[in-house]
Amino acid sequence: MPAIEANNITKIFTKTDYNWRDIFHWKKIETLAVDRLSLEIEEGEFVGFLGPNGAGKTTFLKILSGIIHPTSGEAKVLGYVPWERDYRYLNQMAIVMGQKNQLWWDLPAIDSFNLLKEVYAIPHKLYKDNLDEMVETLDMKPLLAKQLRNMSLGERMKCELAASFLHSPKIIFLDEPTIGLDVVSSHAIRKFLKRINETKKTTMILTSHYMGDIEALCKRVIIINKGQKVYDGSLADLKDQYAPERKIEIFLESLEEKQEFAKIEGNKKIIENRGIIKVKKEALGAVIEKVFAQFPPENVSITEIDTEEVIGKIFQKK
Amino acid sequence: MLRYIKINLVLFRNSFIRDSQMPVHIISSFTWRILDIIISLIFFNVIFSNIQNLAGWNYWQVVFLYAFSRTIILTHNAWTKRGVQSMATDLIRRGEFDFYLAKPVDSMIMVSIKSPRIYNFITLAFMIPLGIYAAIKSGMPIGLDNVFWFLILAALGFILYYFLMILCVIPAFWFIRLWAISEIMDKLNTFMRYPAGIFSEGIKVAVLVLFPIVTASYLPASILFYPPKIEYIVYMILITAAFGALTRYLWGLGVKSYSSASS
Repeated sequence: MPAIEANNITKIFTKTDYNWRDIFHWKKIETLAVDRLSLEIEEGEFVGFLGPNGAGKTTFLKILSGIIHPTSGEAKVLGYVPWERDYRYLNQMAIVMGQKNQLWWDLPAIDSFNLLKEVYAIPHKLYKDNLDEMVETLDMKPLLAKQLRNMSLGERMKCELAASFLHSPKIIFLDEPTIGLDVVSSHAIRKFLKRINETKKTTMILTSHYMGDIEALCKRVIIINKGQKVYDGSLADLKDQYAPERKIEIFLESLEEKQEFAKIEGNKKIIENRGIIKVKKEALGAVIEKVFAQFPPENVSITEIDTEEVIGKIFQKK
Repeated sequence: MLRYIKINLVLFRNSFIRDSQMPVHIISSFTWRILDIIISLIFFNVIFSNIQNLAGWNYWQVVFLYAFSRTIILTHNAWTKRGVQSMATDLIRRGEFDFYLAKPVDSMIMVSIKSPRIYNFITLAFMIPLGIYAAIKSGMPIGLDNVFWFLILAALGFILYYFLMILCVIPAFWFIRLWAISEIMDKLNTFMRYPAGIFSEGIKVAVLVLFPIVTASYLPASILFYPPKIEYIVYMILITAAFGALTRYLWGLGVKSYSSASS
């Protein structure tokens, strides 16, 4: 049985608007946030959820975590209808939001953790084992006695993550957990999430604007735009499908080399001293042969198209 | 139930630690509350220097009613008021209510108990003895049955007041920014300190039935001073149950229509 099953989930936000001149004629303004979205996610999967701002990613996560009710559609997460908020479901689920704190602002992290122990009724031994593991993995021993308001963003996020894993959830929704973090903190958090996913087989859904997060953690990505699913599959297939090209980059040392580069046929451009050619996979051999004949091999590199570029292409098409 | 007691204990402990770091705030707040009690007592003295009784209640009975109503209010101020008010000011507007819905606890109770101000309990140390002293000085024949029924009805009054507080902030689910409604109870609290007999019929219906804030204090106090009336007891049980059911129903509707806030 899949960990998450959603069928035709639709969410329309309704806002009532009126103006003072005509106060008795209220106008309903409807915004379609999620549009007949269906998906299945297996237990232990780490799925990236991508989409531009306002695509409906966070709304969908909030529906799956039981925070908001959908306008229509059905969903089962771990066998429960999320918005019925069965405590047996909530005990196995956690949500982390990069832009909101669930921990108490004025309290040291350990006090918030102790409170969560009671909220989730976590047995003492499990709580202690999990806390020790989080402290070690996230290197957060000095943070335990520190008040949340005195922490840096990265430190806060470490504590938020630790708090979310204290009750050993089977499923976790991560809404931009690395937003605003520096490279070191982002890397530590990615490492931690990967470890938990691999060792505890926790099902994870991650939304992030940073492709680095998605590439490092998720084999499968779901892309949504304007509330609709645009793509659901592996990251590798995504590139094959939407960008079946390779990028040849040549470091152009002289004017002569730039002139030589200009003679090569195909989709190419020069950015400063870098000549970039985008070539279809089937034509790659022929082009490479020409390139290696004209330029020093140590100045040539062949890469895949950036994921961000691929995603940009998808959104432009839509 | 045990879970909520444990959660409460952790929150009280945290509140104690946090509040201990702000002694000036606590002292000023405590001074203000004591001043409020003194001003109210002076006011009652002024009233009773001109009249013999207030709707049949003597000076000490009214002082008892005041002390009892303040006990209900102060207990909620110390325990649930700040959390309940935050529904109308922050939680819904900023989407912080999300976290209360994602936890395996009752969201209404959890929000209510989330930010106790434990130092407010200190004022109760003055209010409860004042109430006991006033009850003794009232000269009314108070038997054990009066005390027994008073304690039962006082507990119901305490719960009823809580439901009324919640009802005041429930519109925030639909109207988001409702800072003013979080203060409605503060204004209505004044009604609780007077015997219901002083109000006109229309106001009586309003404060005893439609929004029974006076019921929460007046009925238990009446049971203490006068022979327990079964209709008072039944009414108190029924109205508390009815407002409890109404509050839970509307809270459920609110949660269903909750749309959170964008990230």
